[in-house]
Amino acid sequence: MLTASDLWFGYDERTPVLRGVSLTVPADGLVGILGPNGSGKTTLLRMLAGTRRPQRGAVALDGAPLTGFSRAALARRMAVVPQETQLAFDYTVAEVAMMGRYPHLGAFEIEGPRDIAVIDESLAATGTLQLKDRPYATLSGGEKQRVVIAAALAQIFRLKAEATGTDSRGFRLQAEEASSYLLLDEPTASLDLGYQLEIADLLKRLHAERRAAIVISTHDLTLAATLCERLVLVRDGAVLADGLTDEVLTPENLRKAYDVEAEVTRHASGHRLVVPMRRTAPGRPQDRATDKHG
Amino acid sequence: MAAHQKALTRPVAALAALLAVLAAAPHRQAAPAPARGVARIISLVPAVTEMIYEIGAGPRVVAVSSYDTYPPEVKRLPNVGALLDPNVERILSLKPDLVVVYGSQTDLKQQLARAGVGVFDYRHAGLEGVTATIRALGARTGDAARAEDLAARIDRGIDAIRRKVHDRPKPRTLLVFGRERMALRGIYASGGTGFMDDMLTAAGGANVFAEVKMEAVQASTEQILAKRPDVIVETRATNSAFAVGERDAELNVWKVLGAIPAVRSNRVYFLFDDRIVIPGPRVVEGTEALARTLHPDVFR
Amino acid sequence: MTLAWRFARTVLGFGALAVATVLLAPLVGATAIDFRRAFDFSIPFADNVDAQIFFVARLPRTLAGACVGGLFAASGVVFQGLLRNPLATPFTLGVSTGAALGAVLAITFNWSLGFIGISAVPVAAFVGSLVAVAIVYALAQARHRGLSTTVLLLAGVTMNAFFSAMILFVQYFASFADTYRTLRWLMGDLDVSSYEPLLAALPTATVAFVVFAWLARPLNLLSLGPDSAESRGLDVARAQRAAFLSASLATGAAVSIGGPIGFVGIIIPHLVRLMVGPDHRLVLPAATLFGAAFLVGCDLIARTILAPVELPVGIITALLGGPFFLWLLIRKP
Repeated sequence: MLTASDLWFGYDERTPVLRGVSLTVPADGLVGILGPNGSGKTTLLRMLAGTRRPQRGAVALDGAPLTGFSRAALARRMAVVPQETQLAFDYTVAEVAMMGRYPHLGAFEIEGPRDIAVIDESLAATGTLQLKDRPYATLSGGEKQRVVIAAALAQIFRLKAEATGTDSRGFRLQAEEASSYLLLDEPTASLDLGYQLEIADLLKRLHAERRAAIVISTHDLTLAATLCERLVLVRDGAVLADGLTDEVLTPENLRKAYDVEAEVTRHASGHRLVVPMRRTAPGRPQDRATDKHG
Repeated sequence: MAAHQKALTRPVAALAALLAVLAAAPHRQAAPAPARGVARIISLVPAVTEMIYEIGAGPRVVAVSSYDTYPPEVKRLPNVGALLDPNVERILSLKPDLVVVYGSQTDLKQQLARAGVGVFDYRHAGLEGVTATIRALGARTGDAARAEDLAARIDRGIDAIRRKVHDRPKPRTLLVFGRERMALRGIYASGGTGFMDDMLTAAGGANVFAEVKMEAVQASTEQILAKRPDVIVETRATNSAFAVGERDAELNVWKVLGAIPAVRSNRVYFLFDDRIVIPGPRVVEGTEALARTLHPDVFR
Repeated sequence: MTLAWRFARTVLGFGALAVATVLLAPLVGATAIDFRRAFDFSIPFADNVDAQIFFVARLPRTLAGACVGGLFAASGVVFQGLLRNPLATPFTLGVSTGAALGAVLAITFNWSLGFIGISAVPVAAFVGSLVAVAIVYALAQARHRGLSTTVLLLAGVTMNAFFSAMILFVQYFASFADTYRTLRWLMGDLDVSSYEPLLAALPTATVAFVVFAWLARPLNLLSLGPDSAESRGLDVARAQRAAFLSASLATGAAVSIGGPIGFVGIIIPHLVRLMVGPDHRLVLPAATLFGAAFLVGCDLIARTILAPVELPVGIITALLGGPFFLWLLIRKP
């Protein structure tokens, strides 16, 4: 379980980006951090991953504060998928995926057959194994994102031999520890609609099969509505609402978060739908008070 | 005439008269002017400055370059820059009749021509260029007779040295005019053309770089070893000198090339003598200094 | 093919090239040597011209070329990785210009270190590079926690311009001879004539290369962006500091031996990436070895092509560098 307690952070004294944020991500949760641009989502994600320290407050993994972990140890439990990945040089898909294994290697250690097996499985899990030897730069947007997700999987997963045999065919990717976390920052923001659906399906599948917690930060209401079990709604660095998706996605909360009148319905197929209607006047400050159990 | 027309006629007439006077005035061109026209001289070329003083036109020099040091009188004169940074304003403000400039200073020459100031164009050449320049200079400043004396004296002096050494064997000589201190790096030597090479030949030496038709050569250690000089002469500025122990240290630097005859027979010399590197009237003394170094037995 | 295999193959291949070049280069030159005489150790060394040409003139020069070429090429790779830009060179951040300023001052004002018996110029060059590094580093640290590569780049480019202006300033007031000698120094000169400059640079070079070995994986991570690298367990600030300082020291050492020889630090990393791919664990050793061979080759051309005159080696690298970039632009990727 990943717990954030009362996080405060600001890039300079005058403008805090996070104001007393607390949340919990269960070990097999699929949690969305939802909010408009500039609400501090990316910073919050970095804090959860441990790559940035809060100025006040703390994040704990299964009760142990993140500051107690070495960087490599933490990286083996938590992988971050950024919104976009720009390469400075012309790496292949395999090389990009292999970078996910670096936290598992000693200072001068070179990846071995086991690591190669892990990235093969990870690429297969995201449907990109056939792209393994292609230059990353030649991929489509959706393919690129899937490769980066594969690298993240390789980072936090290990292979476990199936009960029925020990040859390489009988491996199955499984989480490295009891709880591993995949954190994705705006995973679909720069993708076309088709790829958005692709990634959403992939994440759903990964969650179901691999039993790792997935945290995504997004401003995409549809993604949050259809994918996530739990939502944390943030605005201006504070939590507006936190709970099951159905509880959080109410017109009242959406108005507080987005200054938008919206309806939340369920489509015949079962998908939740958020239908924005019109803008409202920017809400009064008291409407945006911290409300953790909305 | 109407009143306003009358008022205009006087200024117009004056202007016309002025134009007529100017048209009739003698042109001040770069062509050789009569002696009485050159009363104020500025020299940007140190070698030519020495020539000017030597032919008796020294009192007429009003300014020199920033690198002039000889004769000692010039240190009291204002300086107007040098090859790269001539101060045109300063030059013109001193109202010279003749300015000695480098051949490559085309911008400066144009500006002086427009201002109607006489220009003496110095072209860098070999040893014969020195006497040729002296003669040309004398013609410009009106000291042709004294210039001819000086040129003839220099010719005789060089010839005398040549005769003294002509039947001596010519040592293969490396004439170094620049080197990094305490290291065998950045070694610059005289090539097979130019006045330094001419002086070396006149002094009875054989330039190891005779076949390289450049005035200056950056010599590598391989080249020096391959050329096997019998004598190495390093020139330094007149007023600098070795500190205690420095001579031995600098001599030591050459020991690395122990296989060359100059090092093995201890014939590495340091000459603190500007006269070897300035193509001016003191070339005779410079050549003699070189000759003494190369053929000490001839000059008792 | 595993990385271990590719690594071995790369190092062996480029290593063989470097070794072959270093062994063959001293055998070639503008002067014909009698090699039997040169290696005849019964003749006293002080009398053996052929031996001296080989062991005093050519061999140290070849080793200097290998050392300087390796240092420039490797530091070029590291700077490109640090700045995440394949156009970065060892000269981009002002280190080599600072070194050049030190050397120009030493040459123009005829500095001397007394009777220690070594020239002041390489020492001044190295000190100049340290000053440049210190200033750029301080500027880049001042406004950011860690080392912002944007600020680093700005600070470096600014100091580059400033030092260049200082060099011009000094040259303007120097005599013709000093200006000429300075210009020639700036074109590069590997004729060290002794092993001392190489031995003097050895500690710095060793430290730099040890750090480079460690930096190979961090540079891979950094090329996906510092946040990505951070989330994969890399201490990004520390890696960036290590990269900047080690590559700058390597550049300073190289410039103090042979002057600011250009193009090696950008041609070699590109060529090597084309041959072995972008993985820094292969690129760094390959670039070091290939850079060594390349510069020795360029110096060989420089000292033989217009014999009896020797060209400065920087001219050869520049003449190769220009067309190289044209080719990079027009080829089909």
